[in-house]
Amino acid sequence: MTAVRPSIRLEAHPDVVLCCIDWNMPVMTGFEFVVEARKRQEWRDITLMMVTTEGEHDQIVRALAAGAHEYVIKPFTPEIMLDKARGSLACWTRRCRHERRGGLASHGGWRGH
Amino acid sequence: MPSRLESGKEYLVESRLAPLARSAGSADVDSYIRGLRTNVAHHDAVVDALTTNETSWFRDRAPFTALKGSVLPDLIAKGRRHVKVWSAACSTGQEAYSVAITVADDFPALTLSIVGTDLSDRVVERARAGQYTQLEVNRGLPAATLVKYFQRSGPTFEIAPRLRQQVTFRKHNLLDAPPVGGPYDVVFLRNVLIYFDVATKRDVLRRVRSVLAPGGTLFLGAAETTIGIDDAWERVEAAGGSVYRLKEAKAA
Ligand SMILES: C[S@@+](CC[C@H](N)C(=O)[O-])C[C@H]1O[C@@H](n2cnc3c(N)ncnc32)[C@H](O)[C@@H]1O
Repeated sequence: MTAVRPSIRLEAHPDVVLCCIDWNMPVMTGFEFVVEARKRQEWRDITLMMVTTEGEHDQIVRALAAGAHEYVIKPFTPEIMLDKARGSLACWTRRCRHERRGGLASHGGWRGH
Repeated sequence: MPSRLESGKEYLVESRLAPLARSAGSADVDSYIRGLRTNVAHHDAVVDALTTNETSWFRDRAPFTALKGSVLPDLIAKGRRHVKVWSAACSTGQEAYSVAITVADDFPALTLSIVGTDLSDRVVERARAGQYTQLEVNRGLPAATLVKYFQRSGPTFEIAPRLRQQVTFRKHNLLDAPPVGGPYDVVFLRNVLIYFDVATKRDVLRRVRSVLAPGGTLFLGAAETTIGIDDAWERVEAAGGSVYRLKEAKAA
């Protein structure tokens, strides 16, 4: 995946609910992407998941503090990705339900299992 | 043999012991097993080959939701300030530490002692060390929990000493008398009964009964039940998960 300013691609894909972000990308780092994405009100419901070889304690803390929902350290298995995605999307679902009382249907929701 | 296997699992024994038999220079698995009676040195290798140590953090999630949403609040409502937990067949310790994390996160006033036991020396050692690989911490552990309770040292992540202090790991065979230190308010006995035949399951459940505190709670694996095996138990819904309690304890 080529990194682009998040504004460009995401707007064309309103159905995106989950972003998997590498730390090391050209143009902007995954961390910068998270910071940028968190400033946008319209992307508030997108789950941001760092997926990266960068596994230092400080980096994980920084990414979470900047607004990433989950952090997967490479290497990972398909099962791990599914589990992490389910976990953070479940949080997202609860948040949505809580904040917007049943506004879920418009997002299609997440069907795990 | 350390465990009595359900019939139909013989092929498993055969395939898992074949490499050990070969490396010990035995003609086949049968003669290797005959040799085991006298060669105690091989016992641990056999245990490791025969058991699956598959586990993860907050495995199946529902038991931990029930613990947090119902079991622990009930104990606290009864005035309890200290809770004793037995994580039986704990493998590398993720289950026991997941309990410690749940309490640290949501019930900081509660003190806790957890006994984690397993048949395999190798996994008990690992549980005690409390050090996990990247792949292991990726499985079921939310990133926010990872940074809160683990310290990275080189390629491994080490559980915080204040959580490790609450857990004691010991080698223990479920076919023997239960570990001392009870009675336990909560017993986790998950994903191990599936390996036993019905008579052994019943024996193990009886032994668990004998160390369960009045009103205590048993968690079984998602594919396990007491129903049709030991009728002293009843299945109860607790905050979205299923738990087992002793029937006579209901009135208490
Ligand atoms: C699949 S793991 C389950 C670990 C954990 N309870 C969980 O659910 O994630 C099964 C564990 O049972 C242990 N085990 C098998 N037979 C046992 C026995 N007779 N006594 C004690 N532990 C046993 C194995 O060593 C292994 O670590």
